[in-house]
Amino acid sequence: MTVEDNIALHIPASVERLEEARAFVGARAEALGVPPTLTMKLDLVLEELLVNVGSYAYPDGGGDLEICCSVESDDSDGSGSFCLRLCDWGVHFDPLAKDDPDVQADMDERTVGGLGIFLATQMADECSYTRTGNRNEFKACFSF
Amino acid sequence: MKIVNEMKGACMLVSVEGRMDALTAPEFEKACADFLDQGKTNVVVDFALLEYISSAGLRSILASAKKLKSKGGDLRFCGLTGMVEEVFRISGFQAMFTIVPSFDDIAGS
Repeated sequence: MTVEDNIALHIPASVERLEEARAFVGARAEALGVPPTLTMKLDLVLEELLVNVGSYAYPDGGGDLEICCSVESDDSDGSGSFCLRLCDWGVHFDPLAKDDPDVQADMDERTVGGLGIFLATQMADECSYTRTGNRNEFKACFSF
Repeated sequence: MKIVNEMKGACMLVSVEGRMDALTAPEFEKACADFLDQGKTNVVVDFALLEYISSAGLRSILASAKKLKSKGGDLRFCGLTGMVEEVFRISGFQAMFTIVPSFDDIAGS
């Protein structure tokens, strides 16, 4: 059974709106019965995706972002999955197409940055990217 | 995020509390830059009260560590727990930095 949540948050894709986005996702997760143990993972994935959209989808700034949530549950065993979806109307950018950073490298070999999407994909159980028309959609799901 | 620092022997002990995210991480980098300006390059960071860190936090840590190292100093960590420890592990920061359970475990402190 999928509970599609038609409540969406539409905000400018700016790091300044991070608190607002976090409060929205936290409230939706709670309303959809997601256990609080997932909160930190959700916060992390949301932050990395929001920052990413702000930097890459809208390199010149000034674009919008839509966030919505859904729960997919398996009625037979009570397990479920909480999915976070972020949509933007910026340039075509697939975060999953990037090579993973070298996390074995030592300090001198490392460049500062480039860990955000890697962390997000490691924390979420499933990630997907879709380009439809002029819209980027990134979906991250968490099992519980 | 709250940053409290004190000199402990030859080390600057910095306790960071709360959340180190894209909004707050620059404060940590600024604090490290100030230590460097004061010639205090042996910095130990206590994350026992840090509940959340994102890649923005890792970015400010790596940038600060590189600067301290270039001046002959270093950045070490103690008190990692929960998701902070998990983020350090996933990103390889756990292997890259000296990390001990508590400040008392820092050699020579």
